[in-house]
Amino acid sequence: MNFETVIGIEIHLQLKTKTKMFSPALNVSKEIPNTHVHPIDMGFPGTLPRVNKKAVELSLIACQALHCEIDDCLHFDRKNYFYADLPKGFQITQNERPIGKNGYITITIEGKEKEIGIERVHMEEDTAKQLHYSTFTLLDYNRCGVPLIEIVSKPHIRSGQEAAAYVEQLRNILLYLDVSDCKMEEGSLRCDVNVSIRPYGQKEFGTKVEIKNLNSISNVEKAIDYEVKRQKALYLKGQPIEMETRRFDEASKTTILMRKKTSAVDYKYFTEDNIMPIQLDKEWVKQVTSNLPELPHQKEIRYQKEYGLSSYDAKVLTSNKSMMLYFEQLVKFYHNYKIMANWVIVEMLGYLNKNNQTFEQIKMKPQELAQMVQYIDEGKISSKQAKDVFEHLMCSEKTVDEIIKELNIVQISDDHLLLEVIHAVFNEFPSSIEDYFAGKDRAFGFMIGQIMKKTKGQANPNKVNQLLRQELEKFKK
Amino acid sequence: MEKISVEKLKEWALNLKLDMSDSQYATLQDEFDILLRQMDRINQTIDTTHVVPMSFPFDVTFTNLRDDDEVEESHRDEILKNAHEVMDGQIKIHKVVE
Repeated sequence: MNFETVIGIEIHLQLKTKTKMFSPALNVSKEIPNTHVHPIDMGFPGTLPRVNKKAVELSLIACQALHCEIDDCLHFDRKNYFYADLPKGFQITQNERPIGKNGYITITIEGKEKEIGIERVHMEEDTAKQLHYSTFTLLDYNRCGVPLIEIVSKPHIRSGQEAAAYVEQLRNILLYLDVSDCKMEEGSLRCDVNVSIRPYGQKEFGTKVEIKNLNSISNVEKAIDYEVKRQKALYLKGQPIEMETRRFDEASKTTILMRKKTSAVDYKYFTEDNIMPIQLDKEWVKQVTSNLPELPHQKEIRYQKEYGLSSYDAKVLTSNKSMMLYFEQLVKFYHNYKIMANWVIVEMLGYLNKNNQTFEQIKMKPQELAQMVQYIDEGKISSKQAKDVFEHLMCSEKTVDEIIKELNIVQISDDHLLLEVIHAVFNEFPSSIEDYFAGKDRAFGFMIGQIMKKTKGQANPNKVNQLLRQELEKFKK
Repeated sequence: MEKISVEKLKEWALNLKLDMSDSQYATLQDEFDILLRQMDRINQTIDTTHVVPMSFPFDVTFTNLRDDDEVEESHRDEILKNAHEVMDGQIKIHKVVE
């Protein structure tokens, strides 16, 4: 039997503000526990929440980038539940009127584009961080009240691969916009996935299973792939797929049952009566939403047009904000864009992966890489020598000229000097000339090798190639 | 509307940590009964299908948002004073998850 997988994703994103959503406590969750907690966060009697303007601004930016319809009148609701992570007994959220709805983003899978709908984007507050030990739990309220947006996708995603592409694309857009630092491993971007299957052609959705707390994009894909397999196996055995919450276990690459959802929790939502409806200034909303920086897919198109890069190169360069910023600096200093893009994508990325580093840790200034590429083009250093220079530049703050001097790199491009060496090789290996004219290709390579040996690898390879052919032609005559 | 049972009242009282006598439950049940009958009557006489819930007494909006630079710190000692038990600067509670 053929099945169709239906996936919906909920993403909680911590906003990059200085203070919390409703209180003036600092928005820093990694500090000493409970040092940034305000009575408003704890819901002490007599306190009144006040909405953070920056959080609204960042939410508007996110909504605009995700092509959402924006509601410029803010309404908040209470989601009531009794649990220690929110001492008020409720979370302030937007249930009835989310700030954004009916948006979409476009993902690309194997060259094919697909639109994934966004159901809603709403603002809310984060809860306290709980550390569970064997017999007790510790609570740190620094995270309680941190501004969040929740982005809920429509059930348009059909595979683990599409889900991973969706989260990655969303993360990339939001990083570019500086809305959040989007660190999945630290919890500033948290992802819950709803997975169900149904036989092809069936209109009704199957029973959905929620997978919680996926801490990396690759785990999103792995968890879904496993979960789909598990559900198919149950279906084919005639066993029921139950409504439950599971978590991904990294060690076994499986999903593990956390709890069964016997009935939907009734959160008894009602209007947050401590916050009157807030009508946003239309001019301000326009100003915020019309000044969005260039987004990754827009840059991708521009890089192809302006710099003549392939679509693959443009995609890789814009897939990481830090890499993109480095490249944009680079192009200010030299014009061989294609080669410079290659150095960034192949050599630089390779070096960083090998040394477990990120773009932020690169010591080499963009102008130095640009200068190095210019030296290759001008024949001052060979591509092979450039690789040595590059390795040294990556771990020091020295200039290309300093490194070249240090490594004693000289490239001999002088015709007179090279001809002398070529003739010395002819005298030493006359049989190679005969071999060459007898059609043995290896003879040419052998002579190049001898020239490089005599010049200690410093001869300009292009020049040697050209001069050697020129001199051999003379024998013909 | 369905009548509220004493069992239901006892369940709510427990959730709300109220200690009540049997006679108080009986009074409460009578009061709920009156209230529910009044609600039924309203439902029969007024059509509220298109009426928006009046969460606020006046139909007004305001424009005030808090600037992100008003920082106020730190209430750590006061916050922790309310906890039964504190460990490493964190509030210690019974574990309620498996």
